Amino acid sequence: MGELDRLAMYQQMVRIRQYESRIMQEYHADKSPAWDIGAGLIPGEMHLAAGQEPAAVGVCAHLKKGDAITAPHRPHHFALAHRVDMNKMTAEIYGRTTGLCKGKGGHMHLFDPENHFSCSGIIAQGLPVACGQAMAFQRKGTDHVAVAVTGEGAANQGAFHESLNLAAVWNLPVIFVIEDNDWAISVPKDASTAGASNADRAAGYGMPGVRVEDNDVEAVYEAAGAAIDRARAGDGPSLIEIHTLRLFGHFEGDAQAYRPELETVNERDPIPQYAAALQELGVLSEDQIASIQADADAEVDAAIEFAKSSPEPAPEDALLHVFA
Amino acid sequence: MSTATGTRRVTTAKAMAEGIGLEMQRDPNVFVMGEDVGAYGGIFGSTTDLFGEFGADRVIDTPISETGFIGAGIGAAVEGLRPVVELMFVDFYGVCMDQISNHMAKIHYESGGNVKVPMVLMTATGAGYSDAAQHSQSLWGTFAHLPGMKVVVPSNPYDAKGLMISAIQDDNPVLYMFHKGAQGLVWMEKNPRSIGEVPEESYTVPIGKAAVAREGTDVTIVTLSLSVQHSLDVAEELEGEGISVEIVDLRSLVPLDTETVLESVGKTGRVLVVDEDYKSFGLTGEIAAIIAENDPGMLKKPFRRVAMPDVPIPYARPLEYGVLPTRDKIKAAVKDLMA
Amino acid sequence: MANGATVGVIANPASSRDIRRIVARGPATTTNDKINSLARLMEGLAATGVKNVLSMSDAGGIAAGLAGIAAKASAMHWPNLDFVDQKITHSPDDTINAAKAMQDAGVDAIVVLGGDGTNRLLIGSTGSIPVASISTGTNNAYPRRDEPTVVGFAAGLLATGHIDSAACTYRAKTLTINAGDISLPALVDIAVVTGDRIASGAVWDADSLQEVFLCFAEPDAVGLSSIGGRLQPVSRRNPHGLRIRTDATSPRRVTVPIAPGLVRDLGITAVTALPPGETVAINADSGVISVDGERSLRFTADTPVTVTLQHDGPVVLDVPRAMHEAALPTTTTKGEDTHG
Repeated sequence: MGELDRLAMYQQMVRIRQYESRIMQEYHADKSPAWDIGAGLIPGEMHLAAGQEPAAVGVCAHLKKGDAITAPHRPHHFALAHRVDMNKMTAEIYGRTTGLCKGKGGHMHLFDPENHFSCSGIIAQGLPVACGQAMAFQRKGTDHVAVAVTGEGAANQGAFHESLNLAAVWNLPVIFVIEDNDWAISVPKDASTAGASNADRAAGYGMPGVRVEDNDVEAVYEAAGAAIDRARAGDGPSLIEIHTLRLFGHFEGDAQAYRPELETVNERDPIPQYAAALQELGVLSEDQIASIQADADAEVDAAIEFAKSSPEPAPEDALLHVFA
Repeated sequence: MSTATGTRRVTTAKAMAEGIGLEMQRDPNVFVMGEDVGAYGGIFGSTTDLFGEFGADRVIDTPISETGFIGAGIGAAVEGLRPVVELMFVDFYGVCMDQISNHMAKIHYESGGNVKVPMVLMTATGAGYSDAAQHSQSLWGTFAHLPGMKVVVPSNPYDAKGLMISAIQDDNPVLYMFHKGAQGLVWMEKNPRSIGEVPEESYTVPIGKAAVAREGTDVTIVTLSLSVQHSLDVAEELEGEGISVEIVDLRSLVPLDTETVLESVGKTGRVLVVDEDYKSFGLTGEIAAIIAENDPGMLKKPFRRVAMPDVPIPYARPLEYGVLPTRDKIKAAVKDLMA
Repeated sequence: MANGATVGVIANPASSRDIRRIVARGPATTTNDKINSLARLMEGLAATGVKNVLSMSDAGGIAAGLAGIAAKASAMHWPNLDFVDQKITHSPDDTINAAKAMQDAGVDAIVVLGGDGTNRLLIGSTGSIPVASISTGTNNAYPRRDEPTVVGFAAGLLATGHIDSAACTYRAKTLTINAGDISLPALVDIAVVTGDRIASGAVWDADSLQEVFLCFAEPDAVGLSSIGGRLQPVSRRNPHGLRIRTDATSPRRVTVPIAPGLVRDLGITAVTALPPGETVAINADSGVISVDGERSLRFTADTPVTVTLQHDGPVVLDVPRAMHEAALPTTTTKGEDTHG
């Protein structure tokens, strides 16, 4: 397992949070009329991952160049934690030619082959693809791993169970990461899932499953490190379910009227909690908190500026890239 | 016909498997996976003898998890391997269509051309042996309708091998749809055209290029797959009656070789499209539209089609053959065009 | 023979976060396994005439699963099942609050499903109520591996007054760690480990161990208490505990399972008895303290850390003794031998 770098993990979480917060602002800033999801410089659905930073940061801290991730419709935190270029990603979200996908993918379909990162808007369907990437790593004789990320709601999809079985029966270097944020859009887990813990489901496939109950980056870091080490060593797949927190709505514009614990979400925000823990350990000062925040602000502002100043694609470009 | 060096007569199934085998020898990144593709050799013979030659590491039997292993094929292709994945019956598309349509076919486009998905998805199609509604469909129109995947449909052993090699070498996802009745299987009634001369060495048949399977002057039959074999039989019979039939074997639906179609129709002025897929909103209508868009005046007689009526495929033999595009129906339609 | 006996049931929905599942092939007890265990417990309780069961509530599916089975026709003979009216916090407080509510309700016995961690939470919350434990956690030294049906018999016989409490219960020992104003109890072990990470909790890195304090040390145990079990066994009813110092370089070696499936070779420098009531200072001046195998507290040289062994834990229902007690006066009437 890599050496724990607390400051780097804190910094990464702050960077992601700043990104999601600014995208939220920008998303709503020019929605006119405000109800029109297709209006503004960032059109379409927008699923933000604020509150779920510990999952991405704790896992990605162990990944090296060449390791793959398939993320779901809420992908930004894993993309940023996995070194996807912030400028190109932002330009993609703004639908610009400089974007990761030249404006063809958008926020739910980000592809960065250099970092073996992809996401899919169809929940659980990234899991089989991750199995295939892991299969390729295994066949090539590398020690690379594939991380398949999905939400707890997606764990009721057939693709989830097919993938667990496939990874187990072929001993693939896959780490299934389930972000349990309690809510599948508006349906709570206990109303949708037989069995409270998806770590239990892993047991049914002969695969170790761990549930990280606290939304704590160091707990995620340790569990993910053990699982990734295991996969690299050729010991096969693992499953980690992380009980995390959806700080914002399912998508931007979601009033979350269905959510009784809404008033307590800010108390459960993992970033101030981690800052306090690091301050208590004496590894993070007030000055550092301020400078880390300032760095994140500047990086995100620059990415948004880059996106906004990039050209939009021409309509006829829609016909390009159907085939290689 | 004199037999060239290395040419002998083999079944379509064996020709497909040979194509895969040659590519596996040439490129270590090529591997096969699917249900019963290993020791069994593919339920319809598509992987005959490959397991013995390449072993379980490269000819991989999968669990019955089409979403799982087609998705795994996509992931492996994205990482630079060249998987040949078999969906046992195309009718099983319902359990894995998301991987096929939303992932295999869209990733290249969604990524702005940055990610390639060089995989072959081969699948068995077609009716004629009482396997009924869930194991008899053709469905190529469904897949050709969805953007992002090439669709090839061989009708004979030579094309089966050459198209397979082209499909494996292509950097795009290619759906390779073979007809069970044209495989030359010992356990299914077959047209003699399902066994034919095939060179032993490697060669390609280009994707997107139709073949004129028989030249003629009076009527053009545009068709594909097993219906090419039926149409050739009909053309031979009608020759004795003084009707000269030209047959265009489409071979690929995506990309579609409209040029060859229009050239032939322009020559004969009469067109019959024969399709084992469902009639409405499909291939027959597409060919009609292409002709209409080009020059409706090129037809001397109204456009004709013989296709599966819009019903699920029935079980009992009289019912099944009541809806299939049989030689009798093809012949009647041609004669009608010449009346 | 008392009627209207009530038994409390606590099942921890979160006893599955454990990293030992990955690093040491730790066992998994699924939610459905826990529900099935509770159903078997109910059969035992029903057989002894227990009238009421008061169960902890949870959002982890256990209470809902049990209620689902209780509603079926096949469970009509079960005791009446009620659930503690409690706010679910998704934290250890849920377990503690349930125990307190059971105390307030005056239950006659409590049965706990969980591992060392869950049982530890009950220290100080069950008063003089006898507690029987069913093992469901990942690494258990404290709860015995008794079949829930039989635990139901034992708890039911006790709750209904069929057997004498004094003969089959005893007070568990506890260890308490004091560091500044923080005080944490343990039922099995307290360990001092190097480093400053709490992270996923479980102690599984043998090289990090410095010092171990034990309430009891059974030779057939798994976990940190197995170290003492191999060196100098101490029973649960023995007044003393054990203190062990480790050092990776020591020539005195012992090979033990420090977690299920995780066998390590340790160097030992000292093994001494830990007398009850005596407060002792730990050796290290910085590191992390684990209680019952879970890393819980960082400490530095600024804070003196002490450990105390006491006989103030839960009142333990000893299931084998209870069943033995129940078996002594034969209930078979002469001449009724149907096997004749």
